[in-house]
Amino acid sequence: MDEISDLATHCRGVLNTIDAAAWTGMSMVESHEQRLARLRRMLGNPADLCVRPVGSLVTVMYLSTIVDEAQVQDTLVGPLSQQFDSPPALANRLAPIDTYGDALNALLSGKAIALMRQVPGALAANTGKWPKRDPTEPPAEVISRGPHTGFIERLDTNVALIRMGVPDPRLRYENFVMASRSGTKAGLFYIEGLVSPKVLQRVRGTLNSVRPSMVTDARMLAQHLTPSAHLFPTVGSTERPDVAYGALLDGRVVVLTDGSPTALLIPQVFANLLSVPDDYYNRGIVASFERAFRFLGLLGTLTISALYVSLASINQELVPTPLFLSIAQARLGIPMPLVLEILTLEATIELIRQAGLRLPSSFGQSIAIVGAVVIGQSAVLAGLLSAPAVVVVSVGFIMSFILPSQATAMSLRILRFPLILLASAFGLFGLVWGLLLLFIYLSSLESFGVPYLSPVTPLRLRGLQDTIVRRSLRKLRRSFVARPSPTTE
Amino acid sequence: MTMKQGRVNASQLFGLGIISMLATLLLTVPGELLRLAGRGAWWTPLVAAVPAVPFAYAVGKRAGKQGDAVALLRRLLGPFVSRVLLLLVWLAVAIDMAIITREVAEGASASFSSAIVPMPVLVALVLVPGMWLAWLGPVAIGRVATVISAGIIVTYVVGFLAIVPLMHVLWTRPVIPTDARFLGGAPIELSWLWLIEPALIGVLIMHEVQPSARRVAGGILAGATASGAILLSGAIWLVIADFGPTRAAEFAVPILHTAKELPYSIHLERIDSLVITVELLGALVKVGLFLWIWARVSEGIVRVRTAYLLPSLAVASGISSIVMFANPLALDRSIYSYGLYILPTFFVLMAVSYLPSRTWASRSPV
Repeated sequence: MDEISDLATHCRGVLNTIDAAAWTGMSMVESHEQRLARLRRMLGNPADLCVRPVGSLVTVMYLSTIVDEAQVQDTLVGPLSQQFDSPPALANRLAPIDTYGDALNALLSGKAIALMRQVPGALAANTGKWPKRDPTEPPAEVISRGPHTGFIERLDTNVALIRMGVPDPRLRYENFVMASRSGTKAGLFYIEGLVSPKVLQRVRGTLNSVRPSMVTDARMLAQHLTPSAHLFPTVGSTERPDVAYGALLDGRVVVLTDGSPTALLIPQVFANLLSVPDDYYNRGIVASFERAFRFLGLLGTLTISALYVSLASINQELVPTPLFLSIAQARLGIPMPLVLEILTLEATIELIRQAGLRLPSSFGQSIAIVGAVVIGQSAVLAGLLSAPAVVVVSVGFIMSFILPSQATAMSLRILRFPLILLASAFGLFGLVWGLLLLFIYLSSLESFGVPYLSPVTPLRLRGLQDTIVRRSLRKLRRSFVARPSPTTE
Repeated sequence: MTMKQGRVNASQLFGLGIISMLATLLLTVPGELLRLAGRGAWWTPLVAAVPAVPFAYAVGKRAGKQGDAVALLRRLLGPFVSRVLLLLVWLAVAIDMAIITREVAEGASASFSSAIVPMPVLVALVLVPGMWLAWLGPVAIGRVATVISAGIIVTYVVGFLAIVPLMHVLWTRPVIPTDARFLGGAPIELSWLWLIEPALIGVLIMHEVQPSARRVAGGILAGATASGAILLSGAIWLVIADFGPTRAAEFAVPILHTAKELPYSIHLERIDSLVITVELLGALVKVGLFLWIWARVSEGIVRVRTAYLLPSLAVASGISSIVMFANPLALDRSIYSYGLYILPTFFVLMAVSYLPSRTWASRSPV
């Protein structure tokens, strides 16, 4: 009996699905009761579905958890119960709906709809009431100077933040609805005249063509916009409105999605990875100094462990004798080869990092102390690891946090492992070889037609004023980075 | 799968010029270079640029948008004659590829890798980035070359600044040896060697890319000038570093006698590793550039899919570098002679570039 019951439930479910799919594009021309019943069935008769008759002619329908009931009363129930005495005033507030699909979308996006007897279709009123927070500074992008605001999970609030920051008549805003099950709304911003038409065309085309199964955060959309094989991020992201303003002024396109506090910045080039908002709130010389160290941090985190392996195990002739002797002395009695020692340390540090991320902040600090002091020091005292190796790997790890983009830092941490292996096999030549491959890879990368290493290569002298060295703001001209690869470079 | 086509700009051409002209010589034969060229060494790339620049300018201006040098030869001379000429170019590039591959592998092994790595593995390591670059095409090669050539320039500027306090400007003048050498005191063998590479790059890339003929010529000239200047400091630097100040002073280069007086010359050997790192990168990029040129020339001779062509050429280059040049004397003999194979094509292109415009127009496919 149970099997038959299960089968019947399953068949009903299938029929309902087929029914919903078939009817979403159909016009609402049936009788009042039939329309109500069909909408109920298409939604699966959820517990928060509220169906309120207003007199004998009208029925109002909404999802009570996502609408403001007082607004439903003021916008729909009140005016409709007065027997349509002011149609022009109503028409301003209500939008007509013709199909079941539109009616479903309206209900799911916090609207209340009104169905009238002997009138096909429905009317929808915007009565949404979504959970909302203040636009506070994002914890992942805290700065010491500058505005302390951040995007939130509401598209309309984020649009308002952009409009507030860029009161430019050339600012353009286009709406997209993702072709996904979530039907997420997305907003596309750019400044006409600054944005490259080619880039814009590519972004529009990509947004129209992607078919994500679900978009709950803009970073999910970013993964659909770029080839999955890319090791470095070719779409930038930020939760700070001021960074988005800067990107717009640089001629980049900003994409916001509903439900996500993250703005996508397109195109993204390598130079953007070194830039933080503070750079523009500090004097040029300070910003340049900090950027230079960020660049050194980038190189250091990528190569320091591999360099140590090659210099300490293969190319000892390049190390000054006193330094080499102290390394050799520290390694006396270590029961594993240097490369294995470094890889073990790298893996341990990666484990500690991930453990720290998943724990509450108070536990995270404990893990850091246990990792750094207890494990590190104990391992050295026990003669399992050498002190120089711990120092080298720790310095490399700390350097990775200098980078503003954690996605990049992660890519660099991944790349450290093959470089260490190459250095242990072929010495400095292996390291140079690995770096060349990485450089070739970066040179071949493009972000929506813009070469990833631009403006360094292909060289654009004007673009260099805001790469490692940041020119004085009085002389800095924006809108130079986000240019696509021209037909002739 | 086909090789990616694309366009390079003047600065990238400049970078390609520097890399192709300097990488091999600086990495592989600094001592040899000075032995042969003496104080005239730095002058040699400029001498080579004398015919190469007008050649590149003339062909570039005339050819316009009619395709690269391979297509140009076919159109003007017909399939048979053009194939014969291209076969000679193919031969020159093939030998050049084998030499570069072998020398870079040996240089890398001697300079960086104390571990005993078998030659075939080193050769494979040299060819892998080259093959990738060749597949990515001239644009990617140009982008990489721009940055690495900038690195070479910066490195040598630093080197030059280190030795310039002890130099005298008169030492830089070219010397015309008493045994009546070729143009301007530059040794004839090296002149040919220098000539081949800007001409090859100029013609092949120029027509691939279609920048203005003036820029191509300017790029080559600038590359040659920079190469000369870099050579002046670099060769001295490297010889001091490689052989030590005392032995370097024994070479037939008066300038090097001063090296003994350099207070910091004992540190040069260590710093030299950094210099060689940059050169090695340049040489690896050069492998990619010449592999790409070789593939383009091969496509002009036989119709083969690039998916098969590039790996085949890379393997051929690897094998020939191991087999042909196992004996260092064979390499010494080849290095100054292979360029002669390319000269007929050079002269033919030079000649046809001065044909009346009507000849070009009548043969244009447009």
